[in-house]
Amino acid sequence: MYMYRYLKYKLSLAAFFLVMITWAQTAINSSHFQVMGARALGPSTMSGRITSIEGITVAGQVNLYVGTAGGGIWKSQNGGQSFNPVFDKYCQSIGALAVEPGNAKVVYAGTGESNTRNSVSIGDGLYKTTDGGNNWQKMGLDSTERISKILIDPSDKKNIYVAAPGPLWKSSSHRGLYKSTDGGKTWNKLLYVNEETGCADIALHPQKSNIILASFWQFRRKPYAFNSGGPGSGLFKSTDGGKTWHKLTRGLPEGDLGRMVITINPSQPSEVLAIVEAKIPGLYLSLDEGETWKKLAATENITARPFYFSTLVYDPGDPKRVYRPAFDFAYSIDGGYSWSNTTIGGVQPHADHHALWVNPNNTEMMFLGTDGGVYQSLNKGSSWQFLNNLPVGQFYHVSVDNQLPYKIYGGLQDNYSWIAPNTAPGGVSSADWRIIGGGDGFWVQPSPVNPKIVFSESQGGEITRADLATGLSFGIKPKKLPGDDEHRFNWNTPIVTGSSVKKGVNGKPLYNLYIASQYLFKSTDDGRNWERISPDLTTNNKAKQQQSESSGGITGDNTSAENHCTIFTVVQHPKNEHIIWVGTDDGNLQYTGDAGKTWQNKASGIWQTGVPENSWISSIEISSLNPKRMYVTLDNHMYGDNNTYLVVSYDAGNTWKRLVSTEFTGFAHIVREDIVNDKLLFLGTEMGLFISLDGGNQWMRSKYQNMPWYNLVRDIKIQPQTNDLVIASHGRGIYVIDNLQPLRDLVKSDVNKEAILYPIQSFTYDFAAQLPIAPPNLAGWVGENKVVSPVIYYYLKQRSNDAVKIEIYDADNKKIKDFNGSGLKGLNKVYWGLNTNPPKVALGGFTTGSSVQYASFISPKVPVGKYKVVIKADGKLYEEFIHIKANTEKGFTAQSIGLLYKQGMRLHGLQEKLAVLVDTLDKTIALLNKIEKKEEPNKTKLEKLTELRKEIIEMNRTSIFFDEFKFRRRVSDLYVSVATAIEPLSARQEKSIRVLENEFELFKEKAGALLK
Amino acid sequence: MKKIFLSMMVFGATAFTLSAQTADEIIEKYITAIGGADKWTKVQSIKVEGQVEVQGLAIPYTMQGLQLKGMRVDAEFQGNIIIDIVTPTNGWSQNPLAGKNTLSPITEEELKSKVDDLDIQDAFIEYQTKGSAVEFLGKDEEDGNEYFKIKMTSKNNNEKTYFFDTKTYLIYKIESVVKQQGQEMKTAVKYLDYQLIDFGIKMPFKTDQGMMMMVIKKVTINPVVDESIFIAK
Repeated sequence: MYMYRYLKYKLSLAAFFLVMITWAQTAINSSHFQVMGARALGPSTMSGRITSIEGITVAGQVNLYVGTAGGGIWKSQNGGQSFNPVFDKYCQSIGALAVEPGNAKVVYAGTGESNTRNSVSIGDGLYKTTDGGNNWQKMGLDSTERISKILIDPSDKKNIYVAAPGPLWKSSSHRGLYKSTDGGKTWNKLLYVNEETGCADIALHPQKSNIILASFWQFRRKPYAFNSGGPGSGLFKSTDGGKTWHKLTRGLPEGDLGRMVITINPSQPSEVLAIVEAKIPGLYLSLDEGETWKKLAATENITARPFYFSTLVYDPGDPKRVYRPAFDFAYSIDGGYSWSNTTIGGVQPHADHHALWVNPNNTEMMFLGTDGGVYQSLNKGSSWQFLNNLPVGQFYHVSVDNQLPYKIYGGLQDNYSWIAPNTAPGGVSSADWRIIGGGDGFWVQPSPVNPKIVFSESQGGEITRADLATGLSFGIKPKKLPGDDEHRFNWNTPIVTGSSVKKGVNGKPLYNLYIASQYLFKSTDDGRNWERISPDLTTNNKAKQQQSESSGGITGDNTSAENHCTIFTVVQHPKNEHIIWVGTDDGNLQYTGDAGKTWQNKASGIWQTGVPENSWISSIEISSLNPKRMYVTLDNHMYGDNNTYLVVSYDAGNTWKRLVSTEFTGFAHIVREDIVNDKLLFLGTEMGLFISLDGGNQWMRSKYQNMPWYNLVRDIKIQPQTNDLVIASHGRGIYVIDNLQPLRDLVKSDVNKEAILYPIQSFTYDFAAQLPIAPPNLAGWVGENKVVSPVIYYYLKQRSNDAVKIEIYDADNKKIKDFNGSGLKGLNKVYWGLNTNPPKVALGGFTTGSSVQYASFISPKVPVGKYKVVIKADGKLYEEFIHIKANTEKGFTAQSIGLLYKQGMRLHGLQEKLAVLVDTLDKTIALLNKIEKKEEPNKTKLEKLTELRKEIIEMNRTSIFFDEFKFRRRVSDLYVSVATAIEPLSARQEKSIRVLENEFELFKEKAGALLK
Repeated sequence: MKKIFLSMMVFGATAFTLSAQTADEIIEKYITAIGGADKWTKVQSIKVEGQVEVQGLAIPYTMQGLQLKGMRVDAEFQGNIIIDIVTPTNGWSQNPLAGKNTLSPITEEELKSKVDDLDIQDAFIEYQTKGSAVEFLGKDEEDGNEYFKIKMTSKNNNEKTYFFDTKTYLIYKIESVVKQQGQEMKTAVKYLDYQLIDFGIKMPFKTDQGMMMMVIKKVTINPVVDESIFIAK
């Protein structure tokens, strides 16, 4: 309803908590602090990798389902103009989608992307919805880890085919071609080759659905190598619905094959196209349903990077038109004999394409999924426009600075390095995000002493220093010097800053900047000079360093993605710059206590806890509260082990203990200890954010903080001034949970109490910035803003069935404000908009949508001072105080706020006096109206009173832009203007109040005379 | 190369028995929990008095219903009269706050979405006789608790998904889809504060609709309801 738009404060939901002692008895979960919801900041302007797009027209509207590499499934019901996430409770890595022909409600989702790059995630099976994505059910195939295609038999929609390439990092029998004949309830494996070879692609004859083509692919990744192809690969055909199969070889290349994509021409199904990865790769055409093949000419774009580009689509309405979305978007108008990739006008789609949906009802319309989001074409791919509404970016790391508002920095997979404010007028929009480095982005670090200097990198340690004052960028990668081996920089090379007690020659503070290959380098001059402060800290295993000779398998592929025996993690002790910990991708955990003079490998202590040897050290966290406590996460998924490894040491890394939980899923990326309360821990894995409130003994999955339950959490920071938790997700962009203080309070609470009103943080008078706002047409996804308002937190042991009443009293113990709070079990959160109770306004006449109605909701903001807050829950009272402080820096002095309040209350008083006067008039008019036979003086009296009332109250609206304008409206206009103002009227302007007060006195006199 | 033809490695896959049986077991326990079918089938008219609570404001309302014949809601807020009438064939509404100043007919689409509400007995009472179909959608978690989900499709083809508490079998949440301009939007209400009323049946006295809460103050079962109130005048 329209009126609520005006309400200044938001009531939020909530939940509950507990003390350490009661963990065991009390079922704790993240719903109990759901009031601490994250703000999703995007961006959508760069979006992220799209793995699948399926569409269907429903009631004239193009519905789209978009599967992403790490951001779940998004649905549009308006042809891509807006999207909603529909898969937030489940695994976020999507491999394939399929919509049941003719039924938009039934959708199958195969989890686990099969564009098998180094950073690819994992899936956990197949899901199905029967109501268009509102509810999903798991349908099995849990161990397939990745699903590349789902086909539904158009002649019998209960027949479902699923191509499962299967696990990337290990041998597995959970691969192959699966079929269900009961809509996904049960599954048979139709075709299986061996533990190394999975089903990469399938094609179904559109009319003779017993004819199935399937490509099988032998592939494997190791941390230091990728191998595509092998004797297991092959193309197979069945003509009996998958009961028997034969291998297709006639006309196809001999020798080991790799990944193959196949597509049947829907308008002429005897024609089949296949792109075959082989020593000499090629595009092949069959004119006999796949039995024999001939090679066609193909550009490099057609056959490039088969493991990453496996899409080939016929135009459903034109038998000669074929699309090959790959590195570029290529199309053929002669059935695949020749290809073009020219686009005219529009924007050039982001490189690296993985999905294409051509609207069969209007083949001009297409949607293309790339490494950088979705593009739409309305002319068969001649030109494209970008859909700036999918916030599915894949961040690797996040950093924050100390500016006001603080800035957020991070690098996106295939999509540059970025900077954005954590809050912005109108919300953090696409236009607030800025690029500060190219390539794939990873670490971005602002200089701790000069916010204009920012370090970022592209893959393989290509670090740059950007000077935001001049807009210039400088390459500063450490060079190989005498005595160095060839440098080995990780794909995702650490760039880290640390504080220093040293001063430069000019007396200015210095800081330490680190970057690492197999060596650790340190700079104290913004990367102009680097000092190598370590020997090779890795295992330097030569067998794991053969990338330049063998990477890729059949098709060479050496992009630094497989660089190995490198340093991945660097942490300088927060309080002692001589102590540095380094973790490597091959399992070393190195320690120096003398700023790099000597090093000691402490990894074996971790292996003693049962963590597999040589697991990748993904993060190291040194407690800022206790110098001896540290945490390490380890990631062994590149050896096929997806377990969550987290260890803690209480003796500075000498001995370790493993922290475990049945809640954990996904390999671990990051652990963070709170900077105030050492019981509060955060763990980010490939499949979720986990929170501990007791120092790591028990953990819960974050489900109710406005993030996907299986969010891919790569990095976590705590911004020290605001105590905000800043989260880098690899699929849904940046999240911010504002101010951890309530969670810290909850950790310390005796949750057996019926209710707890927490100490209220004092509030320095302020407002969220209102300007400048990003242009709405460029906004894209807009992240919510930080709320600037006093916040009241309270805990309820049980859900309250009656409204929780909140009262605020001024220094004279006079009640100035009543409102309701939420009554949920657990933590509740209520904003107080600094307002008092609104005035009673004169009733009657026309008020809808006018300032009169607005005036009845709003009230002046209180002056600085101490206020008592009383909560009434289940008949009991709880009290706390809040200090509202002046903010002289911004011009909100005690005097100006006090004057504004006084002016507001004068008009508040005038509103109420007017209400009383009108009420008196109304009552008298009503009495006079009751007299059946009206005689003088009553007749005249009634007329005059009615006339007087008409001078005060607006009775009609002529049009939406033309209201009657009477005294009540004039009082309300001025009242609204003062009550919503943030500075007082000047002495001269303030006379406007007197004008109304004087007029009121005249009305009162007139009324008095008539009422005598 | 060894011929790999092609062993039908048939996996006896995990069974997902989405049987109506499971749904019916849950429904049966639910009906017992709310007082039993005997009592509910005797509900032929109803009057509910309560208030809509929004941001600290309370808007009193009265709802009157005659089983499968008519339903009328009257409310008043600051002099604005809000009326909602639904019958099996027609519907009218008036809401000055939403710019509808006079009682005027609702669209067919709106009527279709509201017509199921004419069943003032619980939707699960004799649902088969009423032409509804159910589907068990498994377990799910909401607000930290576990629920059974059942999708009900009414004979008017309205779909709703119900969340049943796995311990009490009472309904906690109902999700439905509202169509606007051909696009669907998911809406949800939560049922809170179940109370046993004199008639021997149990009803939720609070309905949380996110921005607002419907709070029941008084329920009268089988009052005399004049059918003429269901005609727009």
